[in-house]
Amino acid sequence: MMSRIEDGCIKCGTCQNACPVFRIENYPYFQGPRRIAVEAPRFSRELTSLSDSPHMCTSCALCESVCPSRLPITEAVLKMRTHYGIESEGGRRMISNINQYGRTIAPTSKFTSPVSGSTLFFPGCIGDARVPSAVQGAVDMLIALGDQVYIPNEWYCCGSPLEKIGAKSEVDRLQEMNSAILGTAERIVTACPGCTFQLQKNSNVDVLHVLEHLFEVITPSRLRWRSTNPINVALHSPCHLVRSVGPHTMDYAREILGSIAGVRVIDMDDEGCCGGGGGVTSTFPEMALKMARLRVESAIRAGAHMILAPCPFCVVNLRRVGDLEVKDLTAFLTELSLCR
Amino acid sequence: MPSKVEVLVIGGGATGTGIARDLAMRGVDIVLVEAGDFATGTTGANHGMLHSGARYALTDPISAKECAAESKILKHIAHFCIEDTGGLFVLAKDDNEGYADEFLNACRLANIDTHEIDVDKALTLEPGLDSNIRAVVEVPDASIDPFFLTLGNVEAARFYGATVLNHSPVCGIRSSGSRFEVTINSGKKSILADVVVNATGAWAGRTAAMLGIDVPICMDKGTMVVFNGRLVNRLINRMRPPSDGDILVPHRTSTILGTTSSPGSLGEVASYSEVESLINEAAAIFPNIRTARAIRSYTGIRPLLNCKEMGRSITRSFQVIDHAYDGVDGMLSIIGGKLTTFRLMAEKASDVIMKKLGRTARCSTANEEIILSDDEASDIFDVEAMRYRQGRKINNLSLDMACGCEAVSSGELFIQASSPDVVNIDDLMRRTRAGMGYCQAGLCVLNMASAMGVGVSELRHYMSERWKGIEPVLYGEQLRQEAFKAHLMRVYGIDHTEPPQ
Ligand SMILES: Cc1cc2nc3c(=O)[nH]c(=O)nc-3n(C[C@H](O)[C@H](O)[C@H](O)COP(=O)(O)OP(=O)(O)OC[C@H]3O[C@@H](n4cnc5c(N)ncnc54)[C@H](O)[C@@H]3O)c2cc1C
Repeated sequence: MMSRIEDGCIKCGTCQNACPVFRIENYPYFQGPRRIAVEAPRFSRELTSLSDSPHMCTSCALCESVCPSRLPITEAVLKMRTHYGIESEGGRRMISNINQYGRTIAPTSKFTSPVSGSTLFFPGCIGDARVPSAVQGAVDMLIALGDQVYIPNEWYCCGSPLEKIGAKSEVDRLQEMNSAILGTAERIVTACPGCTFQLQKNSNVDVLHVLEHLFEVITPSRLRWRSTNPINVALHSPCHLVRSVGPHTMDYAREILGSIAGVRVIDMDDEGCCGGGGGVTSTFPEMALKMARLRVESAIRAGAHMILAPCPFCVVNLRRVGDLEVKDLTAFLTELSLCR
Repeated sequence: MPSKVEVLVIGGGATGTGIARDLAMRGVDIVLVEAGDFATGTTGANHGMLHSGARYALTDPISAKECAAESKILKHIAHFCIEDTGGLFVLAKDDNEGYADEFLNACRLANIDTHEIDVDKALTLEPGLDSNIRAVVEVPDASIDPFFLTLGNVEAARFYGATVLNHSPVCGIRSSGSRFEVTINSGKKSILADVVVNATGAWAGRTAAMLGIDVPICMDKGTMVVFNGRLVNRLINRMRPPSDGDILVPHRTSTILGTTSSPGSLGEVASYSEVESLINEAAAIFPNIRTARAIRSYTGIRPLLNCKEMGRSITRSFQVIDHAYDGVDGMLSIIGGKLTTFRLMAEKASDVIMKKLGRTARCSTANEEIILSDDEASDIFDVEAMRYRQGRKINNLSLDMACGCEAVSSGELFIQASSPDVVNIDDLMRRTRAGMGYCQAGLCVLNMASAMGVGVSELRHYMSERWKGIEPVLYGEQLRQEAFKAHLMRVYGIDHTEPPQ
């Protein structure tokens, strides 16, 4: 059955022009958002030959943010992924980890943190396994700021990455597993935009990205940081933070960084998706790397000493380029707060 | 073109091209001439059903049996243009329950493979069906593309030595001795033929009149509405005595709802009230049709020989008229029938022709694929789309996107545009489906024009012709589409809603 997504398109081409994957991969190998979400579902037998394209989407949602018909393109791309099932090695590994640990990556970190309180800090699988300094730093910083923050003993993947590979039943199962653990908190804070958005969808308590928590709950007047060495930072805008959680988050980030003596946020001439989302770092790692390189090159051109990103997925993918230091924004702030 | 042939076939629809293929395979020296492009008569304006015969089982058992046998044959010889989706007959909430048993019985008698299935199962197979339907029967209906079928016949006929010409209207026929002299293209060419076959469908009366023969044709108009995307997975028929708005056919990237039946004339367009009534009727078994995106409408003409019984009551089986009985030996008219039975009609007509020629070769059209189709899949979407359209793919084409709706590459456009058969944008559209999708050529028309090397006036003409089919369905999302298109076209100084000049 057709839905608003297939029927609402007027063929303006804006989504195809905006798509960041199209800057890296050419048609017809990559078919673009309109083909995947709108045109292709109208075909029948031909669909067997589309399988790579839906999996190449980084789910940056730029397409739907520019669509004049406001079609839910990303959701439709994910629906196509579900249609094809989990094909990639990375996807299968993820599922097997979920079955074993309830996380997309085997748990590694032990955090020093209270195990109860009022503000639940949700580390997230990538934060836990790949950017633990951001998690520990955030918790330390929030405690230092007088917050009753805690990390529960047990927690499971939020389901966001599984939704992106089309594993619908796992998403439901994880939500069920997490419900008792997350239900007792007064508020949930996370440093991962994917977790923030996913938990927001099915939680009846406030779920905030740490930037929102700092700005809206702790308030900027209490945030007084200083950098000992003057530093130029390029601030990367994570797609899932800007378009899923909200564009205000990056205003908060700029305001917080702007108030820090010694830190200068410099403008890049080219912004966009780093290639770290939608599972493509495991399914199409070469492509994800090329996209990250565009971001890093733009930061270097602008004269940045470091890239800051308020998203662990972006941090991990941008770091793969290796030409410039990349830090999680929270971890960066934590290190500053030490020299307060 | 030769100046003398054994047989001249007039009319390049399914019937005429079917006869051309049949006779050419029997080694007959033959020319076919078509006034416009192939499949631009009723053939290109029908519902695209490969009838299992079920629809006629009760009302017209002869047609039903013919369809049952022929659809099986076509699924084999024309599988390049057939999607064997299967079909369902569905009893609507308020329709007569007693009809179901009669229907099943009649199908059995006509040798149609049918069985009843659970309503619940039907609802999972076809989630858009009304949940209050009361009985469902599965039938071996299928979806067929009449354009590519006809083009396939042309290719096969040429392969066996026939000369097949489009854009060659016959404007006069004269008997001279035991032969006929046929003039083509306002007298620019003429040709001598031993036998002339009138396969001009709804125009058959006019054609016969050229020789002073009276073939009284009544015109019955049928309207169809094309919806974007596949609303259904298989053909959905309403289980009741054949009536308006009974059938939904999944066709390529669309779903076609039809038909109506009322007295009409050649060249008529659909009316708003026909579109509305089709949708109202179909909503009894498929409620979502009301919110689906209609992208165009079109009408086809059924030529009916027996004028007293207009409309659906008349048999849909065909007639081969030997005009020897009108005092003109060597001239035949083939009228009526269905797309589904075109091969059988061609066989019967060709048998009569062979007798007239005093030749003996037998029909072999049921045993050989019309075109050899390429069954090797490609992993590139656009190439795969081409393979399902053309029956074959060509690797190493330029794969720039030329038509997004239908996944037509610029390479496919250029190849088709280079055919001598293709003289205008419409011809190119019919051979590629570019322009047939939901934007109704809003973007690809420019690519088609550049593939053809034609300018703005050709483009304007094409768009105006398209508009005739769009205007009757101008509501909902298509209205937004056309508003956007109006802005785009204005850049080229074109008002695509203007009537053709
Ligand atoms: C509304 C409708 C829906 C239908 N649905 C179905 C269906 O779903 N399934 C099915 O099996 N059948 C269906 N049919 C029936 C089917 O379409 C026809 O039986 C079939 O297409 C007839 O083909 P034809 O070649 O005889 O006629 P046409 O396709 O009309 O061919 C006649 C050709 O002769 C040409 N011509 C006319 N005059 C001249 C001239 N002077 N010189 C040269 N050429 C000339 C015309 O241009 C035309 O191309 C439907 C019919 C209608 C009306």
